[in-house]
This record gives sequence, structure tokens and C-alpha cells, in this order.
Amino acid sequence: MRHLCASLVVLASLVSVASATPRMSLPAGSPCATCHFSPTGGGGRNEVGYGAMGRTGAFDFRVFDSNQVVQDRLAMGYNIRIQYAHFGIPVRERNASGTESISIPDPKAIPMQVQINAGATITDGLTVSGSYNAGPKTPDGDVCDPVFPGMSCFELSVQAQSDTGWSARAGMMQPHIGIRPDDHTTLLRGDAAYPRQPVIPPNYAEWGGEIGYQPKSWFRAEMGAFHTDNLDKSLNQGTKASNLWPAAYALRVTFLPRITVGGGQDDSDDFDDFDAPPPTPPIGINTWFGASIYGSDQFYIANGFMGAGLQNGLESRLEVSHSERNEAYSNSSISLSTTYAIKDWFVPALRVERGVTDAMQKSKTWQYIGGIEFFLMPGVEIRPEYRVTKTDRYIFGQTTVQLHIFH
Amino acid sequence: MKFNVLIFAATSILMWLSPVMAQPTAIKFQGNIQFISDAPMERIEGTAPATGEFNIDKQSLASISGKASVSVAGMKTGNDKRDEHLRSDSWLDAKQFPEITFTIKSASPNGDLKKNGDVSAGTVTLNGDLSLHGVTKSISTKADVKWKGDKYKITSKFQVKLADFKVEGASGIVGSKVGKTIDISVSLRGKGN
Repeated sequence: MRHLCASLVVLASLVSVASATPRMSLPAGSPCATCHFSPTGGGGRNEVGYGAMGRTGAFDFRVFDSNQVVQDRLAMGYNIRIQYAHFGIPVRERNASGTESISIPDPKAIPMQVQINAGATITDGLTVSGSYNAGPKTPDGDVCDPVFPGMSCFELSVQAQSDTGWSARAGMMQPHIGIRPDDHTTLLRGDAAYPRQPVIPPNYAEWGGEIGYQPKSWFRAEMGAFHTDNLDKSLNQGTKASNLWPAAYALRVTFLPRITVGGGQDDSDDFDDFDAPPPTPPIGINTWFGASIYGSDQFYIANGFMGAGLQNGLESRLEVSHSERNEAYSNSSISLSTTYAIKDWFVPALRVERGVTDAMQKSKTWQYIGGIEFFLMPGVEIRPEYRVTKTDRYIFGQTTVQLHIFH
Repeated sequence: MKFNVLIFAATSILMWLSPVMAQPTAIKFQGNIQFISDAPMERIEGTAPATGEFNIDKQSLASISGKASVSVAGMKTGNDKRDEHLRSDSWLDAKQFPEITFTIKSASPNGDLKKNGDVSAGTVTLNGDLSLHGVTKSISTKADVKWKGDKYKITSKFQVKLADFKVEGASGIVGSKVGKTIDISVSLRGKGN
């Protein structure tokens, strides 16, 4: 039973439930909200987002030209992910004669995400958006069947945005916690100890509200208050231990300076270089750095992050996180990732992570992931990866493949 | 004798008038524009190739005339996806309106021409028609014109309000993620006598 539970947890934690795509946001110098209805990213794509991803593919064979059900007013979409992997962990077994062997679960393909999403633009500054994640038991009528304690089956929020840079949103949604990852197996939100129940599970959401302020493109701050129902479940393995305040606080500050190299207007009196080519277009290097804290009572998770991206090219991110549940249980993680969009449909990616959980005893986990985001055609992504997980008890390497069908 | 006087008088008048009647030189220009959208949530900087053909009289910039064009398809912001959006029918609609043009209708020099060594320079207010996204509006912009021998440089900066040209974009984007007003810098070089 213990192995079964562990396998289920690892099963879910081995695969990606991608949401936002920071690797796209950083090189473009665009916030998640440029492409998604939600400012944290993930879920439904707006017209711009659909225009970006709905046209990306090695073969431009489009099933759909738009996700607009009612032009400029209502967009609908879906995310379906089928993951092929060895779900589980290596298990050391000893037979009756005392011989030891290590068994690795057989690989199989399972649907990891079946999400429908929608976003409605009520007015230019007011949107309502949401998503629903169907679980394995949804067809049987058990509409909410989260794999991880604390996962939410749905997100639903109302967002108001003004031209002055102020914004507000309220509903069932994910607070700003560092940079929302596109792979929920990240140790930044995980727990290196056994079993690896994430501190912040994928599709985590709470009822709450948040105010955002971005007066300039290079500065953004968010502050919010959220209920702790799902956080409590996550921290207490599905049971509500009620050792949290009913409310959590969330604060994130981000600086997004952009460095421009080259360009400029030729208004000098110098005619010596007259026959030289005109000033080249400026090269933009988009950067971000910032910090966030999210917590309640004895729990908090603090993140620090920085990243830089060349337009249409290379981007790298470094993020650290530290969480404490009480004085006797803490997690510290660091993640370094880099991607390079050789073509917008062919993106090699590397990530190295280290997590340390300090509880009854110290647990250390390393994670190395190398893969390719390959967009075969608009709406179809194939993501082969090689993943190595190194813990205090085992090293496990495997090839995984994810098929992502989205609209 | 009378004939000689008449010839002398006619020659003198022609010589006196010659600067005024000098034919402006038609010069072809090439260069680029830079455009900046500075919205609270996003700053976008881009460039586009520009061409122009102007008639310039070195004696008087008041007579400058001509037209500059910018290729919408050539507009680049450093992000191919964003460029696709820019050219799409939600924004500048490059298929239907492939060029942005500025045609000079009149010009008023601001001050005298200045000389710095071999380089002459003058500032002129250009009044003309800016055509963008199928909408033509009269605008005025200051331009700096410089030349050395047969080499010319023209630079200018002005702003364009997207709403004036019915560029609406995707719903809710203009204002928060794309500036309502776009800063434009023009930089052109030409050669001709």
C-alpha cells in the first residue's frame, strides 16, 4: 500500500501539467496576461495568445483559425495532455531465497490533463475567465477528482484592468507565487522528502482577491488575500488540520527592465559613414527579477527569481524558493533552466534543480531534465524528455513523451 | 545700344531671380522608422524600412515636397509572433493596407539655414497627409534636413494616435499592453544633385 501511494504520487509528479509558458514570456518581453486571460498565465488564451500558439507548427495545417466563439467577446479552448512514462519509482525487492532485484514499473500512456477553458471580455477592461480540469472519474459523475490534495478542479475569476496600471481580480484562482511554472514537477513547489507531495500542487487555486499595480512596463506589484482551504489540504495530506489561519497573504514585486542595444536615430552631422547601412534595429534583452511571499500563520513560501531572454532566442531563468510549515519542516529549492527557440516550433530545453527538505531527517533530490518542445502543427505539441531524478535512495532515469493537443 | 541695355537688364533680372527659380532636386531616400509603444504592461520597440522621394531646394526648404513610404510587412518588433499580430487584420492589416505614407502638402522653415563646415542644416515644419490603415489625416511634424554636397539626411519625430487611424487591435489590448499613442522616429538618407 505504501508503494502504491508512493507510485501514485510519483505518477502524477513525473509528468507535466503545463500552464503558463515563461520561456515565451521572457524573450518576448510580454507578461503572461498578453496571451492569457489570467495574469498568472495558464488556462485560456486570449486572441493574442491564440494568434501566437494557434499558428505555431512545423506544418501549418490548421484545424481552427481562431478560438473566438463570439469575436472579441468569448473565447473557448482546451488542453489535453497524454503522457507516456514509467509511472512510479524503482522498487528494491527481495525474493524468498534472499536475492535482491530492482523492479521498474512498465511504461504506459495515460491522459494527464483534460481541461476546458473559456474567457469572456465583458468590456475592454473587464474579463471573466475560468477553466475546468476533468479527472479520471469525471465521466462516472465524480466531477472533482484531484490527484493531489489541494489541487483545484477549476479556476474562475473576474479581472478588471485600467489604463492607469491598476488591476484587480477576484475568484477561485492561483496567487502569484514566484513565476508560475510550465511543469508542475518543479522542485520549487515540491518537497524533496518521501513521498513527494508538492507544497503547492498543480492547478492550485483558492478563493480570494488581488490588486495589481503596473504603472510602467518595468515594474509590477501584486498584493492579495486568499482563503486557505486547499493550502491546508495540501500541507496536511488531504486532511484539514486547521493549523492555518483561514486567510493567506500574497505579495509579489517584479522588476522587468529591458536593455536595448543598437538602433537609434541618425541625426548627427557626420556624413563620413553615409554609405554605411542605416542604423540596425535595436536588439532587446528582456530581464526580470523579483520576489514573492505567500503564507498563513506558520506556513510561508518565499520565492526569488531572475531571468533574461534575447528576443526570439535564448532565455535562462534562475529561481529559488524556501518554504516552512513550522519550525520543524522546511524546503529549500533552486532551479536553473534554459531554452533556445531554434524555430518557434522547435525548442530544446534544459533544467537542473535541487531540493532539500529538512524535516525529521534531511532529504535531498536532484532533478535533471532535457527535452524538446516540438510543435508538429498548430495545436499539436510533442514533448520528448529525458528525466533523471536522484534522491538519497535511488537514481532513476527515463525517457518520457508528452502529447499535448490544445486549442 | 538700346538692345544691349535690354540684354543687360534681362540678364540682371534673371541672375537676381535665379536662386528663387532654381529647380528643386528630386532625391530618392532610403532609411527606416523606429516606433515605440510604451504601455503600462508592455513596452514594444520596432523598426521598419522606409523610402522616400523628395524635391529639395537647398536655398529654401519652404519648397520641399515629396512623399515617404513605410512597408507594413517590413515592420519588426524583435518577436516574429508579435510581428504577425501587427500585420494581421486586427491591427495594421498589411494585406489591405501594405504601406504607410506621408505626403508633404506644405512646408514652413523654422529659422535660417545653418552651416557647420561643409554641412548645411535647416529645420522645417512639414504639413502633410499621413495615410495609415486606410485612414488619411493631416499632420504637422518638424523635420531636420542636413546635407553635405550631394548627400542628404532627413530626420523627424512625431506621434500617432492609434484611434485616429481606426487601429483598434484585439479587445482590451490598446491602453494596457499597447500604447494609445505610438512614438515614431524617421531617419532617411539620400543622394542627388
